Amino acid sequence: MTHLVPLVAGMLIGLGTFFFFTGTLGLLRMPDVYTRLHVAAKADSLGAGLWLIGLAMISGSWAIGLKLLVLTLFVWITGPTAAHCMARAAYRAGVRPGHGIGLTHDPRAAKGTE
Amino acid sequence: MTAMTAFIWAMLLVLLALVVLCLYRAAFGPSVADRMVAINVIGTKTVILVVGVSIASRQLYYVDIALVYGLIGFVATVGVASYLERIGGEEADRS
Repeated sequence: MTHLVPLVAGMLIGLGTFFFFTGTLGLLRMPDVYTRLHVAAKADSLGAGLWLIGLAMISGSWAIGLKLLVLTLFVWITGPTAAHCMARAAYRAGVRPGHGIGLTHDPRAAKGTE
Repeated sequence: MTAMTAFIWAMLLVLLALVVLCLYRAAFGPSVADRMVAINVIGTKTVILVVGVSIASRQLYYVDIALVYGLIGFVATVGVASYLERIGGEEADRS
């Protein structure tokens, strides 16, 4: 049973790296600030959580493992909060959603593209 | 070096390459908000890098440094967002 722990931890770390790669791809390829923020915030929360839980499983110490779980909770609380702050700041600073994409059906955004 | 440690080092190198890719958006992002998003993503990846190096090299006190780095990154993101919200203006929407 004990030999399964590094295997599961390695799978979690690999999945976390995959989600970080997905977030980076979205950050580079998405057409808008809000879509980039959407992809980056979600993929980062999932990738960081998987990485930290995987590392906590192989840390070999209860104190470090609990500290890593606390760090996981911290990342899961602050990540969406920071994303919300950035989206609100971008919207109030005048970045129009869907500006220059031509895919939006929001009439306020379509008015902004004229 | 066990196989697990080598695997963690390899995954950390992949994360480092992803940080370099994120730097493109931080350097050439068309608007200020794009740079802010990219720097937030780099901050999250840096926390994971510090924790991963700490576990892989068995220097376990670096975990505290990662915790403090995450805290500072969150406060910095909220501060920069509040500043962008206050100045606003034309140069925020240069996309």
